[in-house]
Amino acid sequence: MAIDEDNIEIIEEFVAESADNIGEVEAILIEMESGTCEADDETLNLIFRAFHSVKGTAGFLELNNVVHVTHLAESLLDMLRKGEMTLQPSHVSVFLRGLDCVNRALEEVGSEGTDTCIEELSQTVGMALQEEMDARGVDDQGAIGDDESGDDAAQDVGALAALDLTAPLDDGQPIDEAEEAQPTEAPVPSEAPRNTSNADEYDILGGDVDEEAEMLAEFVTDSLELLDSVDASLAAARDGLVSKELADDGLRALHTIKGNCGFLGFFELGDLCHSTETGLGRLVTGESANLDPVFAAVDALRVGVADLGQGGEGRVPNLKALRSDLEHIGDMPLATAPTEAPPVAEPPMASPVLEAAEPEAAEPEEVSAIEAVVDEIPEPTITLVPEETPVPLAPVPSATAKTDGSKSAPKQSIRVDTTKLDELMNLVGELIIAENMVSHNEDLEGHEFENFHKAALHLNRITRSLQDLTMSVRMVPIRPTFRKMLRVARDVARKQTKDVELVLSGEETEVDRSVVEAIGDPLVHLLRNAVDHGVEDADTRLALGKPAKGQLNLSAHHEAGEVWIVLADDGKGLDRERILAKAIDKGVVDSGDGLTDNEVYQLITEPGFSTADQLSDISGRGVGMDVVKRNIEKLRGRLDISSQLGYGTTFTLRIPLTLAIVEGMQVRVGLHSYTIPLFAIRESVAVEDMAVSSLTDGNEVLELRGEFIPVLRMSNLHSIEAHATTWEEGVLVIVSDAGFTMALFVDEVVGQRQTVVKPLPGYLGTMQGLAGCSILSTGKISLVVDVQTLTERVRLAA
Amino acid sequence: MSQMGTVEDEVDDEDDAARKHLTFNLGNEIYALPISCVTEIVGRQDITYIPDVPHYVRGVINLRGRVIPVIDVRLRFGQMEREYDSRTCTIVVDVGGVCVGLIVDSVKEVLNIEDHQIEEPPGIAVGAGSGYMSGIGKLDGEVTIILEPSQVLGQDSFDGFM
Repeated sequence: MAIDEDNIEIIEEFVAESADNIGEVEAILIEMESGTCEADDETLNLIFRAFHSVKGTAGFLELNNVVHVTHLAESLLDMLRKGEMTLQPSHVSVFLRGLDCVNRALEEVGSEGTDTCIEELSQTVGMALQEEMDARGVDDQGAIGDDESGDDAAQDVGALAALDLTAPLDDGQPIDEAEEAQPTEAPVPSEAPRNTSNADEYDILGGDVDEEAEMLAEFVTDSLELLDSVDASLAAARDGLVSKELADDGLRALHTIKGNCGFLGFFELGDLCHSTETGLGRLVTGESANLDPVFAAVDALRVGVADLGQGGEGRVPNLKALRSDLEHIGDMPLATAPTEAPPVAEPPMASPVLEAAEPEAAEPEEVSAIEAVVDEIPEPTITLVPEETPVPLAPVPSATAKTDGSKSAPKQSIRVDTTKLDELMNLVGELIIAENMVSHNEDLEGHEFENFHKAALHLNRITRSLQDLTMSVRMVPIRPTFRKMLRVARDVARKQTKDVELVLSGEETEVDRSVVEAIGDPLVHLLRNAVDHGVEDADTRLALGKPAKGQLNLSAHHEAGEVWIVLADDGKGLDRERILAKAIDKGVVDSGDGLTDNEVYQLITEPGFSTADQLSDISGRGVGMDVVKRNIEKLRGRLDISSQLGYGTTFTLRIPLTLAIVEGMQVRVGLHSYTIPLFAIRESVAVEDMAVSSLTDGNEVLELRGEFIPVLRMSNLHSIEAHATTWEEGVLVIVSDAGFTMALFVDEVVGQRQTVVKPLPGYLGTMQGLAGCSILSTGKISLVVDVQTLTERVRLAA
Repeated sequence: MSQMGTVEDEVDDEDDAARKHLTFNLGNEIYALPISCVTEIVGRQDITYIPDVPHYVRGVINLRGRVIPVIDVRLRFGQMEREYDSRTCTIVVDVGGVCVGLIVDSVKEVLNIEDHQIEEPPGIAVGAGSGYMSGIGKLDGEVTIILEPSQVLGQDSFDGFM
């Protein structure tokens, strides 16, 4: 299927969502396999649902290969769920193969809208799945069917699910297509097969409370929106004449709600939707010009849906009366006292479930509710129709309140293109600069404008809040990245026939989106190395008195404006002497004297330090380590390595919380402006000339409270001219990083400000000692000092 | 250069765009850049000095919030440095996504240079600037040096470039 305009959004949504689903399932499968997560019904349901939702949309998008794989995976899961067989390691493997297969297809789906690239693969994986099922010799095979009918069935279910999945998302637009994709006419709720399948679905959903709550919340908000749209189309109708177009909009909306109701098991509401559809249909055919029952029904639906949102059962107060009104809409010329008419015939839609769900005891209350509705309906409806305002119609006053309440209650989220986020971030940065330019405009100097000052202060507050908000929008939990590592650890361990366990913690730690994207690769490298070369094989471990199973810990937490991602293993550790010997041999260092352990370990990140035949067992640590280091440096982060020979190695990735904004101290050197990140500054001191002494090697040190601190003149560093020639004329800014302290000599401290850090153009290459630049309120550019590399440079020189 | 999309409106089709060149002066010489790589022309800007870069990179400028490096084309071509004046212009070019400002003495005009007006550059590999040319245009008796933008940027000479 070629991508057409209408489908692009659906496809994008599908790809993004499926990727999420797959990632989640992958993690669960691996946890199940390793025994950290029990293969109970709940977990199986979770996996089932993930496959199912992928299949649903894939069916709608005619991705038959994906449908094929997911369908068979579902079948196998179903057997596991029903207890017809127990979970075997081979199952996990075949499921993972299925996921890989779908994953591959997603790439092509994203770009081409087709899944032909997995045509063969899907068959092989399908076969594997089938074999697993056959292996059990289950008679049930007929239900799964041969490939042909299996495919068909899958597509039918897929189309149905597609309706549920996609329709509410796109404001009713794609429903047309969804309906086209549906093989039969709109399924009638009372039909036995559908009801049973719904009951099945409901059971599935019953498995996981969170998931269900989420779906319910989504359903409630979607439905309320759809009901609003029904109201709007009805209100647009004049003199009771509902045009076909308007009615179609309404019908589509109702149909969507009905579908969702069926899916979620709210049969009462679903039936009312159906009746409403019938009533609306009669209005179109001209059998009736009375809109009231339909309005009343829509309002009742809203009450029911809102009730669901509040944790209720979705009870519609006067269901029977409403439905009978709708059924007889053509028979009644006027809207007066519709409830007086007794429900003559059993409503055709009533299912056994409905009757069972409606205990007689509820009757008295219902009656009073009906009266309330009767009293209120006619009046507002009449005024409403000509005004085209859908909202004010509220037969039960409390219902409106409920509706409003429930609308804000559910957490809604949308997917946004990250480039848009970046653009927003940029614009907010610009706004802050512009705000500064206005508030501190040079023209204002020497004047006192009280009102202007107030307004400027207000503007300042708003821009700050906007900035904070924009920043928070970019923050996402690190969880998905971490979850992916489970798979990596498993695969590598398998290949090495080692037994390892990866324990995750701090998954909820939030980091900037760009960080999440960029740390994936380095983590994979580190993890692979840890399993491959860090953890010993089981025999060695046992001989050393360690548990046979290798233990890996991956954690994340916030610390001092940074995110620390720590990967620790309990393997053999790094051998300082061997690394040193190798480094000296290669001429990387002259001797190990004065090098800290961390510095020695850092040597393994040197490019070319890695080939296996040169450094035997430790060498593997070098594979990709230079890539790791470079990637982390790109994020302005650093990699710390600590290790204890024989007991394990710990890699700590220290990455700035955000790449975009820094609280900085603006300083001046001659005509140049620099910004020093505040978190690196210990203090700034004005000193007497005597406090600084020149050493024989030309370096200068400051004596501060008995401590000797190396001094770096910014003017020397960047070969620029400074105004301050003596120490007394300038200021020393004491900065420290990683326990090393030094002083930067500048002309003056201009002030403290929050700045948007922009990267320096890539054209200029890597800038030693500069983290980027920021734009001042004057429009001039201030260079942001990278304290980390500066201290490192000074430390190495010392 | 087949870079399209940076020049709007006045360019009707690709052929037209390929012929259009922006000419500028350095001293008495006339140079031409394919207009497809030119995004805009701005006057003199406040330049922020950047340490540790080749001497012809004068620093960075703030172009409505975007920080872009600027090259003094005179220095790039090994010519004498000259004080900036009111006619000094910065031509902002985009070459394969890399945005750089080129400081020139003055900007002349936009003109069509047909293929038959362009001659291969003489194969004399003498002088620092020989690699920057993609051809020599003869227009109304004036010699116009047609530049190869990517060579002017000299991307290969930077370590940060991959």
